[in-house]
Amino acid sequence: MVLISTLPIIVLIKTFFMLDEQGKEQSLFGFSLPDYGVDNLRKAAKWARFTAIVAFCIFAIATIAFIAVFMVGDAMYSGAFRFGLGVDGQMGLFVTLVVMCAFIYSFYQLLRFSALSVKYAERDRATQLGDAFKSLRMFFLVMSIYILFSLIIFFFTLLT
Amino acid sequence: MEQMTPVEDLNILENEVHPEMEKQVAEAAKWAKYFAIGTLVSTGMSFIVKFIAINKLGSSNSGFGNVAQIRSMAIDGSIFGDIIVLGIVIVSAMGLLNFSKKTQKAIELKDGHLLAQSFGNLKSAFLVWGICSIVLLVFFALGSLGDLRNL
Repeated sequence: MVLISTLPIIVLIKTFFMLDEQGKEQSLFGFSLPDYGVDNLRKAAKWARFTAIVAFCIFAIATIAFIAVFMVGDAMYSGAFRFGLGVDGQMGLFVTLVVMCAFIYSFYQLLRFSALSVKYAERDRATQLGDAFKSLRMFFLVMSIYILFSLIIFFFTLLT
Repeated sequence: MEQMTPVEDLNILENEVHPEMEKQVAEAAKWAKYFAIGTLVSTGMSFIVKFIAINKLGSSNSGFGNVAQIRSMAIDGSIFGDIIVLGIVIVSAMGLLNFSKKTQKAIELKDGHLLAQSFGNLKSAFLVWGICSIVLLVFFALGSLGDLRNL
């Protein structure tokens, strides 16, 4: 009799925990992400990867062109091109190298975002999505800093 | 009712990962907004300077006949190119701004559909970049072909 009377309570408790478990299974950031959201993320990641690969190709070509210009200049003016840069020239070279390194790092982060997002979309690993957005944040951060510096230099040039 | 994504591994890691994930997504959205605003400001500034320079060039009296015609054509071509660049920048920046706004709202309201829409905006921004990359590659290939023909 006691067992029969407690049965509905046991069923109710079990149902409550099952519901809770179901909610946990589909939750992301404390709420669920629809299928089309994952699809959008996958497509965004694929286009981001394409952009990053093209950017890397452009950097490679630019680097080759940069080295070629210096080598040709050096050969034509028998070392004067390299040593005749002066302080401003060397500073320009240094800034160019720093900017290139920053760009390469930022596009590497974009590539990482893409790879991790695609992995997440295929395997549904929640940890990878967090890492992916960490990479995306780094990409936007480096690019924002670059734009800020460009604007500062731009205003400085206008003033002088 | 739409089907939800099965996130099996979340059961184990849920408590540890959730706050960190929320933080990372919100931070990415925040920096995307800064980047979009920076892009718009820098593009706007460069156009203002360019238009001032064009006006100065247009008002100067030097050059006549063919030189003046070539200059006018160059300015027209430059303006046409600038309008295309401005359109690309505005579309991609708006995509990023919408991504940022919707993501922050989605996290605040715990709304999955809004987050899905924000990923759609991110996709459109990257799509614009991707198409620009293709166009850039085509121009680069055409330029290289032209150089090869000249050799």
